[in-house]
Amino acid sequence: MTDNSYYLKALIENKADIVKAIYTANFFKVRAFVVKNNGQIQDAEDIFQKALLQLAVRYKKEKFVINTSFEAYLFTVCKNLWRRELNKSKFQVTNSDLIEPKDDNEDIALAIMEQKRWELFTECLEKISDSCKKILKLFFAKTSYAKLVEMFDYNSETVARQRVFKCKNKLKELVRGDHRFSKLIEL
Amino acid sequence: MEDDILIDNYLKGLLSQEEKQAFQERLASDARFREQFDLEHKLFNALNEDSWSYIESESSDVDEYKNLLEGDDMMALKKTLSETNEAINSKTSSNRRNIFMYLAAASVVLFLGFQFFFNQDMSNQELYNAYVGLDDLPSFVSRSDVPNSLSKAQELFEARKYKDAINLFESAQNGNNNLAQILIYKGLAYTELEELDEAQFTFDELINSNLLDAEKGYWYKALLYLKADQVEEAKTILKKIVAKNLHNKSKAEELLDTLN
Repeated sequence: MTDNSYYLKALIENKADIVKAIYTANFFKVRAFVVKNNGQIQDAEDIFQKALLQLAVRYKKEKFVINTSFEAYLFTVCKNLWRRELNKSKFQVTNSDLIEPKDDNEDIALAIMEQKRWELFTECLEKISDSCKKILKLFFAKTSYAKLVEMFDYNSETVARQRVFKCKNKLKELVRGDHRFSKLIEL
Repeated sequence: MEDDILIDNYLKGLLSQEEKQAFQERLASDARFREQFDLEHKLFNALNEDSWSYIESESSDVDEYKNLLEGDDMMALKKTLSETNEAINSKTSSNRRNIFMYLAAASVVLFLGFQFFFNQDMSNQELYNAYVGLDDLPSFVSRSDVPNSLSKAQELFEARKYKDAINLFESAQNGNNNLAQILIYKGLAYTELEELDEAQFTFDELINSNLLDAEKGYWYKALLYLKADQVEEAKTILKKIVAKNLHNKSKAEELLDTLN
């Protein structure tokens, strides 16, 4: 409908009327999502602001292009930011390597790199064959091999494992071959 | 493939304590194995909806973003964002307060039994009842259909079992073609339960959606305000319906006349 960079430009130009339009068109959906997933309204407000700052600063630095609608993209970013918040406490217990951000700005900066890596993985996953995509999505959702055997009529769990193995290798090949890989993987 | 299985089992938490120990020792000493594990681990965390893959080391990009965020223009944007956020959310939170006050007032009225207040509440309530048309809502049941969760939810709704109806509607909501209709039913169920906050929330979801029937949300939200005795808010929405020629325009005109 509209050129996606329209909203991104409006953000870095700090156009209050367009910011308001973005809020009216998108905030309530994000709020519904956060509240439905164990959050408070206050959490939704924080996430939404951080998401818009993320888009603005990313656009300011590298003029990235959104391939879906602005609304859909913003919602995905918000969803990921909320996943990130929900997992923070879990992660801190199990892994001492997590960088403790000194302030909100650093937290937003870290979230951008994580979002970019997530985009690299998701885009590669979309590029592989439909059957591989289907089985890998189930695999990443922790579906057991026994269940995969049942769903795909494989002869044994070994066959299911081999199938996952092959598909995962294809995915890794694509990820490794992407120009963004080296910058994002060491982190 | 063997290493692959090993990494899988580690990530799924299937290794014994000793196996885990051995695994971690190998990670520390075998660089190729570590590289393989790192990628698997990141993929696993990023692509599993219940987890997230965090950045674990410093990078110049992070510093660059951080510096940009500290710049004047981004600070100005932050200010705009927080002002817009406040404007949007104080509107809803003051409504919330009003609804709460209505409920508090209603309970005092019931307690003291003031006929005068009671009558006044009833009149808005009666108007709501007259216009809401709970029995005339579009049906999810078609003659050829076998009963499904939506037709069951509708049955529960008609039997005034609103809580159960809401649960069923919620579970059927995702990706359903009838989303607008589901939201209307759900919002009205909340309205009937006097869970006005949730009701408002549901109608807002409809209004802010891209659905063809999004505009119907205004009509039901107006009725919700009427039921909550917030006549001014109801009128504002009704006027909008008339001005923009939205769903139920003539009914909105009629209702506005009555309220004035």
